[in-house]
Amino acid sequence: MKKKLLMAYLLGFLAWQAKAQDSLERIVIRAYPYEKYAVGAKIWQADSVLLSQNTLPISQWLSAYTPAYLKEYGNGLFGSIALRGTGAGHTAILWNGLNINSATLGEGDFANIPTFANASVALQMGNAASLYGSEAIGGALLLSSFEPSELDTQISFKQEIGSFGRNFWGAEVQKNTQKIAFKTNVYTFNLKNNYEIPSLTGNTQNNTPINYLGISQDAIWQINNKHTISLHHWYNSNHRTLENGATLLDNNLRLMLDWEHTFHSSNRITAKFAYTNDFLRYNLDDTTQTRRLAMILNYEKQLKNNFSVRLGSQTQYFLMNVDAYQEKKTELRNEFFMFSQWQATYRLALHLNLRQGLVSGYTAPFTPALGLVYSLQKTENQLLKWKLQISRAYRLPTLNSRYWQPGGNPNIQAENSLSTETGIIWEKKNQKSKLQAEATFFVMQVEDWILWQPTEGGVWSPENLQNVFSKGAELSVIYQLKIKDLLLNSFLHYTFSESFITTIKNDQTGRFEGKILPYSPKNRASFTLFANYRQHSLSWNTHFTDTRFSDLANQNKLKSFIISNLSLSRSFKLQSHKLSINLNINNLMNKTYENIQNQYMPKRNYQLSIQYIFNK
Amino acid sequence: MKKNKFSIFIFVLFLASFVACKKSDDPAPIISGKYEKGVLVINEGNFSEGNGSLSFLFPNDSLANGIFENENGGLKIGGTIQSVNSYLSGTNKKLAVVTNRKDQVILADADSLNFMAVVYPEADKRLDNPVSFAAIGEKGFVSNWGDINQAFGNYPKGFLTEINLKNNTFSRKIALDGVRPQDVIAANNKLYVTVSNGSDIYVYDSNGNFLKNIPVEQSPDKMLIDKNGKIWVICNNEPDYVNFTDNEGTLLRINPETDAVEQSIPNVPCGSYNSKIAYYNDKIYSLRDKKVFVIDTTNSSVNELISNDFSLYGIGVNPNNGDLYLGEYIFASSSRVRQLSKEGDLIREYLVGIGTNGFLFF
Repeated sequence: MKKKLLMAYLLGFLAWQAKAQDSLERIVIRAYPYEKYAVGAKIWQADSVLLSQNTLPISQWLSAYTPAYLKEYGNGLFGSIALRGTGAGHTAILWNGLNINSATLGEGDFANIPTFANASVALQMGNAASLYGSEAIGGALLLSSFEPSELDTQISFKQEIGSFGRNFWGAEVQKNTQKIAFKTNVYTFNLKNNYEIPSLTGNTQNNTPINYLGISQDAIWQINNKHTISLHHWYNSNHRTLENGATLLDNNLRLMLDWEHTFHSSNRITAKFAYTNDFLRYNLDDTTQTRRLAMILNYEKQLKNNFSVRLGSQTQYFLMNVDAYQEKKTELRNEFFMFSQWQATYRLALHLNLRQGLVSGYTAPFTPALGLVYSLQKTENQLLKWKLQISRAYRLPTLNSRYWQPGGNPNIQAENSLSTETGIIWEKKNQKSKLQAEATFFVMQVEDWILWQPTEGGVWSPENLQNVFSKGAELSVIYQLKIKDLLLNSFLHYTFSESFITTIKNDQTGRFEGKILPYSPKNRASFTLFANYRQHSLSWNTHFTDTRFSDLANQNKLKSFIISNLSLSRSFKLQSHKLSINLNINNLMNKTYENIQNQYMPKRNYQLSIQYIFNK
Repeated sequence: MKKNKFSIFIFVLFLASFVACKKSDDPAPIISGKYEKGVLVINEGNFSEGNGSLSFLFPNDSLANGIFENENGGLKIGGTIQSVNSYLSGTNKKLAVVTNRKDQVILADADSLNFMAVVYPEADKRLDNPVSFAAIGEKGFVSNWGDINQAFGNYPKGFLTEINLKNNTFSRKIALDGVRPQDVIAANNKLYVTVSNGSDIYVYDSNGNFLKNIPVEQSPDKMLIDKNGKIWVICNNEPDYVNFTDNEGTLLRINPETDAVEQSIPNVPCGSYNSKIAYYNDKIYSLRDKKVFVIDTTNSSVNELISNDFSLYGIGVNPNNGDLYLGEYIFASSSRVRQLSKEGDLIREYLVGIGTNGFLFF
């Protein structure tokens, strides 16, 4: 059945492509459309070459290449993120601008997002709710599914095998005429996950197999100079067996229609209409289904050459069919926003973003953000900038916290946050090299953090109980050097952060005050050296995770670890075709480590892939 | 507990300072009898991390956490502890630690906490969501819910695992089709198994042969043995799983000589599942959320003893002096343990491992 569906999709898109007519320039999409309204914010962008060489879940990718801390429950089983010392529910995941976090849990499973499915990946650190809405307190993961190739046609096949029964197969077809661009991407991934884990008698074999199937399709139709329509589709099915033998099935369907109308050369209206269907089955009969209808409207106007403003709204309607809710539930969420960017002087750029949510049953806080960048030095080869951002953010209560039976709390309120960050950006370049360094310092408080606790009746129920204060610094250094045919790229990312509990409101003893939040390492660092010489490339990655407490009382500490990964790649050009062979050696030093207590990650392991690309 | 022998206090203090100062690469000293006297605290741990642990309250009121790891060179229990039971192997006192989330039965020496052996599920699923352990002679019996996909369905595939305690190895599985067994207990050279998805207690002989079933109330849960060798079982009856209103169960007394139900005490406040009870001198103590109730078995009266300021999960009574030990219902943090007098007055508070669900007294 699945094979038939795949064929139908492929044929549909091929037929559509045949009708394309050449009349316009090739379609080019910006990877990060909100950048100009994020003046003063810290943004990490994944290297496109490294991204294209990997088939890892995004949790493992981010763990290796960013300063973010990923809480991985075993290899590819479940992963959540902790940005700037916040919790799993404090990072929004946006797919083409739509928040795809689970509405019932209020967080996303980073192990359920393969890097292969996305054309670009970026992380915006810190409060970003004025731009992205609920949950963007620690930051936001920004996924863009399609960046049309400049080539006319690109077809690629990838086969990867690896340790612990790893088998990945993927195919991608891209076409970019001057009117229509489309991409179809199909992939399957199987992993036996039968690696050795520590036990009382030495080692025992882990047994947590994963079987994954995905298909994504994107099409952009540039009707004329004024109208563009895009379609995005992403379906994945992920079946996992957990350590206790329980099974978890995740089926996620995401559809989006995006219409963009440009008029008077600088004014733009965009409308996104989306439908998502998230189905989760735990064991054989415990099911959760959340369907979402969403509409995002934007009107953007460029006033003179130095001021642009965007007005918009987002409407989301949720239909939940969750066993534990005992009846079908619906919820309507509306948000209104304004983004603005003003290049006040040659050296000074500012943004002011405002957002207000309207949700039945509780109040979403008014969420402003003000940011600026001041260029202290601005020459052709050197740039020195000072940045500042003050912002609020919020997290709406999850649907589970409202409707779960027993225990759901209809009086639960949104969490809210206030953050200030400042820093320096320094860029220097010449013909052979480019250096980008960025240092950011932040302080943030999160109030009314929702905790689940047992009530008088013994039932677990959520309440707005916890206040947290966090502070820290982030340092990024990116250096590129080109010597004849040799290209060197190095990436260093370091984060220092401390998140303290300031209060838990119903705890009269104050025993948690001043305690560090669980799973919030003080230091995280990642270093990557990427070298490319003609058709050879080598990538060395090392990342460090500091000790972290696993409990609120800070009684139990997990060991720090340093993990190194090596990747070797060789490509062969065969006229317009290209063949690449890639070998990854992960956990090169064969370390035993755990991101979550007793959830061991695999020791040294290997992946060998071969990719055939046809370009025209 | 407060009037403990000073010599043991000094000895333990000496040992504690020695352990605290020793370098990590020093070989761990084998100290027999270190945990011979005191209170073993069972910390279940949380399910996502499988971080169950053991703590010990020494007679001088000092506390040691993570004692299994401490005494075994850092070896972790690595599961959520469902129960810990002590048994005799010859004249030596042993412990059986039953965990799920990592299904295993760990056997250790009770006095030194030294690890002896572990039984794993292996390919034939000889353990599958194990719950409780009881020993009869050289045989150990472990109740298992079986496949979690079926355990809460219409037809659970539970079973008992028999362990040879002479060589600490797996012997066989005893099928309990249609049953989700909860507690097991040994009395009068027989094995008693509560059928938590029904209203029976199954009785087996010392060789694991089925003898009979004893009809009881709905959802029989934990069992204990009183000073007269009689079995008490708390039945959760039919809890309101929709609104989780305060549940009331039934306490039953069973004579293991005749296997007859001799006494029934209705309207006993208890949990909806995994109900905990403790016994001291003709009184049974039960938990419901923050409250402790005392049931006088001589006149079947039920009274509230205390209303605590945090939710409770574990309960035990020291058979030597009647002091009550209560464990906090929390899984994101270390639990508080409160030691109370028979009258319910606070004597002392400790911070132990995560999710304290029971106590053993030595």
